[in-house]
Amino acid sequence: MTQTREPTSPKQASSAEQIAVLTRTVQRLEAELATYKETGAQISRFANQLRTAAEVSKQLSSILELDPLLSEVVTLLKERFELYHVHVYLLDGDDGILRMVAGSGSVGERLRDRRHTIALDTEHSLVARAARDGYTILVDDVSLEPDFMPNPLLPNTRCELAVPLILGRQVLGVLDVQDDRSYRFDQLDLATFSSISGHIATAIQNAYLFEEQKAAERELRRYAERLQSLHQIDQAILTAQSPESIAGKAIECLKTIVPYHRASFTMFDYENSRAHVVSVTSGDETSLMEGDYPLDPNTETLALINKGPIFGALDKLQPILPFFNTLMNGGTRSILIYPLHTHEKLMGTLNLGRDTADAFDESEVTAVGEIAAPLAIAIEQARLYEQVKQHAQVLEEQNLELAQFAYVASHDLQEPLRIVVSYVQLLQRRYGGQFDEDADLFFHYIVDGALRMRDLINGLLDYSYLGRSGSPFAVTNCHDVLAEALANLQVTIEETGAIIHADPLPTLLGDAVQLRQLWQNLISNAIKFSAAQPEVFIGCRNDGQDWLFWVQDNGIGLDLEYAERIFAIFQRLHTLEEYPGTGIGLAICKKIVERHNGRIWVESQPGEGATFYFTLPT
Amino acid sequence: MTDSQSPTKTLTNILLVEDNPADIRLTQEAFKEANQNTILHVVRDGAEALEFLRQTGRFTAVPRPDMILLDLNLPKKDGRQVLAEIKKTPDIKRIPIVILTNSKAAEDIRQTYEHHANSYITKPANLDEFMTVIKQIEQFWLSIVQLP
Repeated sequence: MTQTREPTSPKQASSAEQIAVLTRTVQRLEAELATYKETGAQISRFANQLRTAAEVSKQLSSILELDPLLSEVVTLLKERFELYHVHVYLLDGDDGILRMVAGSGSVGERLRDRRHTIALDTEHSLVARAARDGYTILVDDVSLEPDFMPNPLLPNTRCELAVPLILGRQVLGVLDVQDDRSYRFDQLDLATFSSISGHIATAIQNAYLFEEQKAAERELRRYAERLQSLHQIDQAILTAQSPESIAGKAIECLKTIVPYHRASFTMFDYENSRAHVVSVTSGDETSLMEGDYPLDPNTETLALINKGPIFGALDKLQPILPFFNTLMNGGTRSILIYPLHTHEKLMGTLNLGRDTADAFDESEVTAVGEIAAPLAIAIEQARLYEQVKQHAQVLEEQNLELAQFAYVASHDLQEPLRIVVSYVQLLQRRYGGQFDEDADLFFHYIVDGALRMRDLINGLLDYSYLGRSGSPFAVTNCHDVLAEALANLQVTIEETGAIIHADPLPTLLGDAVQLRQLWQNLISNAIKFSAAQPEVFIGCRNDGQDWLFWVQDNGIGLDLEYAERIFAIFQRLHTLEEYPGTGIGLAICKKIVERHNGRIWVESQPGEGATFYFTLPT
Repeated sequence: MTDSQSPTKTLTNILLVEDNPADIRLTQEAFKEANQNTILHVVRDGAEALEFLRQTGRFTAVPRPDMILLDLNLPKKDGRQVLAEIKKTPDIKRIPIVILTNSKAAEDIRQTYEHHANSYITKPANLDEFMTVIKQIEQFWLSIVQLP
């Protein structure tokens, strides 16, 4: 507005004229003054609005969470700008839907609770259009606007302003303000709300980021908890003994990430067609269900469980699995049954129950799944270990029984045999020569047979005694042990004129008594099956992990076809007339070497002598 | 037996604790060959052995034996128990006890000596050896050894 003044004539004008001019001037001045006044009021209103906008923005910036932020937005705007109604829509870009997330007053709450939404592509929607186009849309009089959608909850709306909430180029949502006076909003209002919408968009973005960060933190925490649980389960697996205790501990650890009221697990024993239910929590209906049940591998239930986890509210699951009746009666409202697979075989299930209706959700099922895989492997391993342990125990018992039996049998067999021998000899002594020559030969055979049987039984006794006795391994000087063996064989060596060559022998861990017997048996064999002048070479070599020992003779040797057989009990290659013996010496050698975790074998050719090798760990 | 150590004693009493009749007879035969002056008293189980030594039951009139030959595997009370009880009883614990058994088990040998058996002999299968053993037992315990 410019200040203008009517020019005056130098000549005297008439007074009437002058008055008219003055009046016009006054009028003009009055009009100008009014304009000034209006401008001043405008300026003061503008300043006021700016102040309010700044205040609102400042308040918003301190709220980091989305819901409180938006409810504060609508409340503040409604109050400060004296509006009829305010609400905020947020755009879900993935679905193309605008969701009403906050609204002023009780109407706003009701609308929000109804989960009021508007599709982005709705043609006749001011809000959708504002979001779509990214421009503010003002309707001064809704009665004249065909796109206006009347809301029965807001009957007094006369004008509406839909301001897109834009950050950068991204539309986050729409701020929708309504008033009960038509033509309520002027350019100043538009500018103000546009400015405020920028602040709101920033605050929303901050809230989103904050939420994302919180979600990331939650995820991280959950991840840490899962790791912790997995670690605890690992620990449990390491320390637990039985499949039951492993599963029990694992399920206990699980409670921190997937809360439950009751838990149990089922193991399927297909071999014996049994399902074994073990309760983890106690004193509830799952412990009532604890026990052994017949298992029919062909039932639909099993097929269903085999497909994947079953979870949800019990009343919905109950029709497909009627046996859940028991659980329902006990108070369980929702369940999660997770199948445990090893080698693609269903070996059991993990069963969780809640007394509340909130069912287990997908993320919880995933969490249980993470634990289920290692748990199944651990349980299977524990089960195998238990089986192996049981087998080993049975085997050990059987061995012990067998050794005991052999010992008792040979021991008790001695007595009647001794009686037979003694009385035949008494007969021979008292009545020998009173019958014919045949009778004396028969007496001889009886005694000979009986004495031989005695030797066999003694051999068996020695052999079985090896299984029963045996000292713990101690540091043993093989050189001394060999010297003892040779001393015991002194008579034989002298009688046969055998020459013994021996390398120095090492010191190692073993049973000295048994090792002495080993040397003794091998050397006496070498002398027995020898040429006229027996010569025996004893040696040893360090073969890395093992000591390799050998006893080499210059005797008759043997066909390697029999190399295995000679180490079996009572196996002989020669008649008694050729070489006496019970056929137990090498069997004892084999047993002694094997007890020391070594191997024994022979290398030979007929007529070329034989070399017996054996190894003992260093 | 020359009986030079105890001229007043003409007969020696030996108690044989043995359940097997064949063994009893064999021992009797061996003693018959060895010495005419030996009386071999025979009881068939551990309980009888203790009654004999305590001179109770049907053994009130028996003499106190000079030596005991004790088998280990006996009905009722087994030889190990009999040995332990004898060696705990003051009057009779000094009677020499020779364990005469089938067992060669190291554990049996160790255990019986622990209970103060005076010697342990495994019955030889050969008759000649058995005869020799009986003869030597008698000679050693009743002639060579000085007893209180």
